[in-house]
Amino acid sequence: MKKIYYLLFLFVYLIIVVCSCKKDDFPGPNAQVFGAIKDSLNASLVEQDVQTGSQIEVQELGFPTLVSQFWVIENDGEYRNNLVFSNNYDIYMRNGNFFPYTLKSVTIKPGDNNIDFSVVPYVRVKNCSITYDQTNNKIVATFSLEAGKPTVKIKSITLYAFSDIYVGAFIKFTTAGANFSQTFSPTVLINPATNYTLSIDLAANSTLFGIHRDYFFRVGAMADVTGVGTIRTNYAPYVKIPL
Amino acid sequence: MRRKILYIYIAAASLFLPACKKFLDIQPLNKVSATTLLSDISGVKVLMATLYNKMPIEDFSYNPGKMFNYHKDAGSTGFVDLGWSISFYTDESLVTAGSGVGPVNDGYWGYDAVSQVNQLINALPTVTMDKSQRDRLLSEAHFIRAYIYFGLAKRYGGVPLIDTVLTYVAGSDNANLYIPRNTEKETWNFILNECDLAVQNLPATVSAVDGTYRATKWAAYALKSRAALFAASVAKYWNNAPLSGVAVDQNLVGGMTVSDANNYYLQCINASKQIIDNSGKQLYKPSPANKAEAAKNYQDIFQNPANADVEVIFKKGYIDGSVTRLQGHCTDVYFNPAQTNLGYIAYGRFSPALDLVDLYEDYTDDGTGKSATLVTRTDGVENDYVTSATVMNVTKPYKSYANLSDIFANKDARMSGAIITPGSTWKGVTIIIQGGLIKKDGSTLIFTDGSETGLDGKTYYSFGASSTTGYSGFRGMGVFDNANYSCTGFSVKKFLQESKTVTGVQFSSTTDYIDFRLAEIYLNYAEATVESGQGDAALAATYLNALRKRAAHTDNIPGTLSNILKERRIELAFEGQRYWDLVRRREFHTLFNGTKRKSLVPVLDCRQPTPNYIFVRSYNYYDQNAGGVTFNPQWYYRAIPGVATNNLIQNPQY
Repeated sequence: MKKIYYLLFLFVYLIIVVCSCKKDDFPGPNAQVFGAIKDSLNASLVEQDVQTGSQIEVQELGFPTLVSQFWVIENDGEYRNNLVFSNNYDIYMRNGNFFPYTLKSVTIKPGDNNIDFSVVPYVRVKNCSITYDQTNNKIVATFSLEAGKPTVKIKSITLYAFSDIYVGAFIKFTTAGANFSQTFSPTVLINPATNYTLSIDLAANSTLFGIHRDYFFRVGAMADVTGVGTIRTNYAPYVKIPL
Repeated sequence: MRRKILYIYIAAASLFLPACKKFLDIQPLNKVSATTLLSDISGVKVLMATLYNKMPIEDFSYNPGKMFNYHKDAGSTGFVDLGWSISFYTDESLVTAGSGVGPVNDGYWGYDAVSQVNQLINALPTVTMDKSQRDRLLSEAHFIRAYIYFGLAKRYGGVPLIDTVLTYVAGSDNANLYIPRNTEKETWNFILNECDLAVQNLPATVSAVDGTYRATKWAAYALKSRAALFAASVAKYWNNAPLSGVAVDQNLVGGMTVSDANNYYLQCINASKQIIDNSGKQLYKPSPANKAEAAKNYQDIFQNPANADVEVIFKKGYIDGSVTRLQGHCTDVYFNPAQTNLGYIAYGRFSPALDLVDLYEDYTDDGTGKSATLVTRTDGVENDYVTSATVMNVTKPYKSYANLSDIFANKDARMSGAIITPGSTWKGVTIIIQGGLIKKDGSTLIFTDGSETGLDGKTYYSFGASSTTGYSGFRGMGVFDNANYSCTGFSVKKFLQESKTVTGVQFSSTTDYIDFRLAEIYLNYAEATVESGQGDAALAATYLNALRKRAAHTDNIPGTLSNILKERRIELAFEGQRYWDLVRRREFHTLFNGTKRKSLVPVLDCRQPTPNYIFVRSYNYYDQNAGGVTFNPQWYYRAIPGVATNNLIQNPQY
């Protein structure tokens, strides 16, 4: 008899406890979005900073209060987000290294979505060559600049160095010397005919480049454009140099 | 049997019945309702005292990563969150255990206090008291509300301006509670107008009991001076770090013009001038006989603020938190250097940066006011920083000094009033801060225990003494719990008690925190004048030089913007101003862009017949390990909390 009571008690107890458990059966993210930031001029990838760089700002529609999500872009300008809910989205391309614009009510369907963004970069770093000058023990970069629009001015140019491919304005060695960067104050309009040369004196930075290994270098240009929000650095692709 | 089963089911079902009781509707017995509290003058005063405590004053108990009035009891072993300063987020200093630079992350959203101020203002006309008392309380409420909104505006830009009591109506959609954000300009105008309303009926002087702890009209003018300068700077320098997004489009952040900037600068000038001309406030001991006296006077302002009320406009007091729970602060416990630690497990946590030390002038006094960079080399190269003193090159032409303190000999009195430098005397103890030594053979022993027998036959120790209680620098770096020794070569003196005994437990400090003092008002006036071309430029220079004369300088320097801004960094060092100066002037992201703050590592050179000291310029250990620190432009505004439920428009890039 006691056993029956125990069983009944257990039954009632479980009913009370189990009633409080509701299965979370909301569907998970069912869409993957990928693509690249491409130059509208020639469809080449627009280089970015993976850290503190341009981001794709999206807002999922259908909610009373729209909250922004930010999708990170790889250094080479490609991006991928595999955990997206299929829905309609507003996409804001702003606070980056290209002229901002907005895409309203973009439909992201279940499964793969390839969305490339055709943008006008503030500055194009052209004809970039980064080489090791063994004679003078320097890394030398030569390049020219091209403005995305005629009104774009240039604020600074820098030759960045680091120990991996993510080299840029935020992931870099703090190099010593005078010639690895040039600041334009006041900022000036860009002349595409001008050739620039920047260099890093390896002897003056022996503590940074003391180990024999691959080092990575990238030329960055910071534009001066009014009314576009935060401006990120434009780059040429990185160059790997074993030292 | 079936009946018993039935009973069991009934008993089980009865478990659900208590849920039907509206026990939440019972009035709590340990709280006083708003109606009861605000029914007489004593209740109003109780609420007013509570509101003073809710003002977002960035004082000694403010933890910029946590909250205001942070009094978490860490127990006998924990100390992670305490002993913090907003100064650590700038180029003034680092927490000794290392910290990056970033935005304040205190989550401040003071609408509970706004609601209480509004209730107070609403209730005042119904409480029996004489008119002058009512008017004063009303102005006091406006002062507090201005202070709260200033705390919000400098973090978020434009915020919802709520100046009435909002009522929640059960069962309705309560749409009236969803107040949208006002523009940043409207928010600044509201704050400045609140200051004006505060000035109207606040007294010029308060009772001796209230001291400068209670608001006077000068405190309201001081708040206006500070807030107007902030607004003007944002208006003028917005384009140095522009943002974009919906909040920008709707002017919830930014959206101010040059004309707005000039208007705010003028309001700053006028408010400052009111204090300078009419408050009777003066600089504390403005004409010292010599440099030593100037240093002592400057130290005393912060050690004994009550004695400096001639200069102090508004301050916050404390009672001993080791006796009364949730009171006091930990300044003395955490910030005393290792050699004079008070006995708690954590100490020496405030490490001023070399960046600031280099900024101080010497007494050349040639009319330029130029900084006197410490001389560490004989070849004049003072921009050569090693990544760590462990990789120093002993063959470089370092300048030798016979004593640890010699290198600081002629620096500005305010440096020795604010900073404990190597070789200086603190609490009767010579403070030894040494990073290592060079052995006779030229090899080095840096940041590690060890000793060397010198050419004179004596034994010398890498940290300057044989015992861990005999020195104050560079031990335990990289180990948070043990980082009780300066990581920059300096320790803080400002705010510490030198002669008064303080118990070696948490919250035992009771030193007043000075929120507003005349020196800041002088500098606000000078900056607003030079930035806008309004006001009296000659007077601005006079105020600038009055501060320097108080530090025993004898020359007059020009009142240029760079001189004024440098003077501000020096005079107001560690007082919480630097962070917000970098924010309002939009200088943070350019100053901190992969930047490493700097340390000065004294090294004993045992190659000499009598060992001398050399000083190695080094990037700070923690900033170096972090690869430099960066301030992102989006951080000029913090993320609005709870946008998914309060329907407010979020700030850019959040």
